[in-house]
Amino acid sequence: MKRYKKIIKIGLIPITLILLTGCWDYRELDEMAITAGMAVDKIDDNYLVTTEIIDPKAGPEGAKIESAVFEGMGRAVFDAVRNIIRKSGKKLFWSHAKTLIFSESLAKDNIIPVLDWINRDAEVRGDMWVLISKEKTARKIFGGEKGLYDVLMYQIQDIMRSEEHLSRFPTMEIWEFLKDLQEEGSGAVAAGIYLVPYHGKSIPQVSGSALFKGEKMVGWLDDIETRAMLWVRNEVHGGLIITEEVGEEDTKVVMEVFSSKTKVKPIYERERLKMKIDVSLDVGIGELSTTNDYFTEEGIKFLEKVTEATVERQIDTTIRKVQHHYNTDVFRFAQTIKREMPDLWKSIRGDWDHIFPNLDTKINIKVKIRSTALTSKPIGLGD
Amino acid sequence: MFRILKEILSGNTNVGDKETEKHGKLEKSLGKNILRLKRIFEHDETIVYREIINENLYPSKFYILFTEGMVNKEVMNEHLVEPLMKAAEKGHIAHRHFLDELTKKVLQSGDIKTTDSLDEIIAAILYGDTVLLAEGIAEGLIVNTKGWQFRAIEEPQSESGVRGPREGFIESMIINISLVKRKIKNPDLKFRFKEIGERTKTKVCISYLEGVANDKIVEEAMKRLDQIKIDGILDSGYIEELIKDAPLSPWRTVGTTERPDIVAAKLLEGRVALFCDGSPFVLTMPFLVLEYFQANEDYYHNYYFASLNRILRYTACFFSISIPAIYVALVTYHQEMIPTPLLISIAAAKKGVPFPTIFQAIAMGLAFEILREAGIRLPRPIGQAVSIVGALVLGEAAVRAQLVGAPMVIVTALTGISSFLLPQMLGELILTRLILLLLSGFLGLYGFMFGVMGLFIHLMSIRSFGVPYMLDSMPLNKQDVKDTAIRAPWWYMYYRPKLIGDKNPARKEDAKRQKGE
Repeated sequence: MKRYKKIIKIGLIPITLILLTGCWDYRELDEMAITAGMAVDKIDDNYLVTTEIIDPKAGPEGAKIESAVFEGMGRAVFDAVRNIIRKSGKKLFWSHAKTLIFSESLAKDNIIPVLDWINRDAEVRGDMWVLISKEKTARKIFGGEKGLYDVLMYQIQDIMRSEEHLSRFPTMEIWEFLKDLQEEGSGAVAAGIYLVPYHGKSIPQVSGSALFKGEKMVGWLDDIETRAMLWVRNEVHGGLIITEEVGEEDTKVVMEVFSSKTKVKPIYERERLKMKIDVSLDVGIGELSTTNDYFTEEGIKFLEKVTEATVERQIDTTIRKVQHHYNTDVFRFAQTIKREMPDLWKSIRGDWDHIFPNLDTKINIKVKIRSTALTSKPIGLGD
Repeated sequence: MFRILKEILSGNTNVGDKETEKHGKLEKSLGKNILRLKRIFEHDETIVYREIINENLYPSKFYILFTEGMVNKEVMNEHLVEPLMKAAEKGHIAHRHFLDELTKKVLQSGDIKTTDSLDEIIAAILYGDTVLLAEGIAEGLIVNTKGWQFRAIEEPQSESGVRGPREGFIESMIINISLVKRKIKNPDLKFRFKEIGERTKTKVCISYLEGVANDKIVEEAMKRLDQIKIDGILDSGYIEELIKDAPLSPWRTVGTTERPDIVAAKLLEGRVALFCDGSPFVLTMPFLVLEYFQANEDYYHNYYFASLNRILRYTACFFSISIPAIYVALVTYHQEMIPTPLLISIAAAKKGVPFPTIFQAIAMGLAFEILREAGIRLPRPIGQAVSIVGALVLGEAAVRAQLVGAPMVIVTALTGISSFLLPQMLGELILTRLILLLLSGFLGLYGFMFGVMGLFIHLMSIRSFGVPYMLDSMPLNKQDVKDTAIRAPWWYMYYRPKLIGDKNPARKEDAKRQKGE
């Protein structure tokens, strides 16, 4: 008898190991509604969740993808999400959702209730893109045209992915957004989205950034300011730098950024804290709207100087604007100080809100022209 | 002796006595011997009793016994009957050593044996030899006149190849042995015979290269053969099952092949081969997991190509075992792991299909195995019809009728085709696949992992004739990796496989010089 007990005990180990671990559930693909993305609005005290659900259709010519928009109202975000079942008939499946759009009013109010559900739920992934709608409501974005795509949310996903050629909006996934929110002293940013005219209808466009102070949104930066901010955050991967009125009027110099590296270092001298921002850029000449030949050593140097000045001016204005208008540390200065000078940070952490607006910066831009693309000569006019 | 005589006289033929009648010695009286043999072979009308009288000889009365259809009649007539009848010189042969003299001076056959044992005589008659009995002599001559029909040597269908020898074993053991002997012309190549099967008296032969093969493995094989108690052996498959390690495991621990070149190669590696009369399949021992993935052509082709093929076979094995299981697990449990576009197209295919994915997987797998089995058993022309019906009805129509999703057809097809890369492993693959499929159907990838772990633990724990089946199959030593997932060039294979050919590890003369590396 004793031996049998032992066998039962040993047998129980794998059984419990198998049955008591993790969450698993048998679910057929056609029993669930694959959600591509969501938008959250707040109407009075209720949340309105709008989702785009993928509707794959198997036809004789192969699979065809369509999508349908469903919305649900509820007293909490999860409640609203569950209420969608009353219309869709199927439980939503969130693992393939790619975008999360907040309305501006909700963002200005408080985004924590929404983020909590997204952070807590097992199905929702942390790699959804965070966007703030500049339209009146977030659900208006779903009324946009789909352009080249079958699913609107996947169109937005691809816009976010192609950001590296633009650097005109921040690409924040939820996990990163949450990290910035939770970081002491830091402010989070998210891309802005709005509708623009498109063949008599409208299509969503992503541009600019929304700045957060704590759980509340405090204001917008336009696309150029956003790039300046990204420079300080060392998040620029590409994009164009345009300098106007170089030398003569209506001469524009367009530089394409190949690589960009920013180093931010806090300097503490004579009881004053100063941020030293070193940006080194590798660029190529993308466009020169002139017949002047700049392809001499001095010419190249001149172009580099001009570009350096443009970038410096943009960064400087943006920092001033954020410091004085919004007073939120979206540049991650606090994180840098904490990392570089932990002792100093301990002494100033309580007072950061007052220190940040008056923080001095020393901007140092280094531009290096790497290539001139396909031609080394301007288009010379025949004399 | 007296008892037997009494029985013969009283005509007592009950079974128990007949058993004793079969054993014993010959008598001097030719009449009694013949009577006794006739009684033993009662109702067996294929046995021929031919009486020959040659007055020139003394004794002058002979009997020739053989089995119709199993002797080469030309040989018998020319070498046995004719010389015996024509032997002329009277008194030439002394009576005392009559059979001896007869063998030396009259009979023209090369293979003659003298015996007085009734058992041996019976066995010889049954095995195609001709027995010569003479009046007044208590001994008989067994003349080798075996000459039954057998299949021509041709390329084995189960192991065809592009490059390499095209001969294959046949049902005659002696011919099979000769095929191997012709490849290894060495006195160290030993052949030890045994007889297994109480009733069939099947001849088996254990072969090994002395000095290369591990003596313990040879002794173990002999011991296991001795322990076999069975009434009949019709194919080497009987022996395989009776002597294999891990008898409950579906994985084979004894190899089989139809090709003499493979047997020769395994003998050279230090393995033991077992020939079984009546079966074209020769067993090789020990058998390790690695050998499933080896093909004889690997050693004849360019080694890059051979290594590529090896890796392909490993991949096919993985595919065949796990594709349906992984597919079912991903689609029914871990939808978040599938890339979005793929998920959408799978979802589109699943739409409107009423059956659960796991059921589809099992049903399609079953249909495929039914088709495969039908293709093997049916005659060739009908077999093609089956494959057309199978491909069209089960593939195309099932998808059209929305009974299964198109991805499931692809999964099943890929699984099936992959398993054809490893024909030796077919049964094992099907079983493992089914178990893993059920596990993933119940528990998702989690169950699949458990299944794979169980499979590996099982394979690691088996030994084949004392050699670890899989445990040491992926060594880190440079010389030992040479014939595993890759096939090293021949000029680099200095040593035999470590676990098997350890007794005499050097394969090449200059191996010792290379030992430094």
